[in-house]
Amino acid sequence: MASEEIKKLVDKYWEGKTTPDEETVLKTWYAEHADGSDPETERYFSMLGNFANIKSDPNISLELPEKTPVRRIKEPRKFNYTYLSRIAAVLIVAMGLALIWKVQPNTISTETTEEVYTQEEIQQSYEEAKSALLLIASKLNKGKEAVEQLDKFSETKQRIRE
Amino acid sequence: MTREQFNKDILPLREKLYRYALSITLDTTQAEDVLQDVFIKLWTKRNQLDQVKNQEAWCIRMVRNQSLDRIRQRKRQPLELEKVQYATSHFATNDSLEHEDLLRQIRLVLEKLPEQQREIFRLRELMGYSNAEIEEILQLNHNQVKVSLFRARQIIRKKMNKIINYGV
Repeated sequence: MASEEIKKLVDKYWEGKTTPDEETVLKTWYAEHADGSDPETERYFSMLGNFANIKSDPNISLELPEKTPVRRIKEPRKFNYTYLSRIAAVLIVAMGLALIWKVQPNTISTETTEEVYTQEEIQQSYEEAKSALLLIASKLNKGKEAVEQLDKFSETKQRIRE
Repeated sequence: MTREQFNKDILPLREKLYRYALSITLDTTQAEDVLQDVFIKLWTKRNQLDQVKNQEAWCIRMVRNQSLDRIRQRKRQPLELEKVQYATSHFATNDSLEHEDLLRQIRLVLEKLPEQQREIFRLRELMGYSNAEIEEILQLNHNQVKVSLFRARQIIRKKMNKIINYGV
């Protein structure tokens, strides 16, 4: 005959309020103490308890072949820093052109350079623009070196992960 | 994952995975086949296992898919004579006969449940997983698991009464 405590636990079970540990108590208790006084409950919990004790056939060995090929994991996509530096270069040039267009819109659109500037002034502007572009190029090269280092770091990280 | 790690982390799940396969296929031979297939799959995917957060839940899901595939195949293929003979000899021992009776009882209990409730019943009542673990294995939310479990128990309570009183 089930004790009051076990009966309370059974009620709690049907209400869906028991924990897995309490359910294990019920399964074990009914598997060991079935006396036919409550066949419905006894049969149910002993069925669950008996299932938990089923073991696989020990004579069947799980053969794991030594030479089974290991499925390769899809490598995470590598971020291309060089591609980023190219985009940056294009953006800088585009921004430079936009700036020139904005600062001197009227001169460029309405008057020709021959009419306003002397040959000397044109040459001077050319030299200044050239030196500015050279400066940008040198900075870009410096940035590219750093980016190459990042690439190398990324490759090494990948190799370590493998 | 090395063989040592595999032996340490995955092989001890053997009995649990076997019982789960058995709770789905309700056939000891099928469950053993599923277990063998799953372990070979796990072994070939051992590098992926390192990155899996909950390895047990992952293995359980693999057993579920493999077992359901087996059931579908079984339904498609007519039973061959060779297999029938093997199955008969397999159930010759007393232990196997007891298992067979137990599986018959479980089949009776499970057959009227909708698929989701049946799955939750297997994991909770037969495997002893907590609701939180079931949520992770089946990718369901807290309420879905709680409500399905409650409903499954209500159906089973009525069913048990019929089994005991009328043998159906």
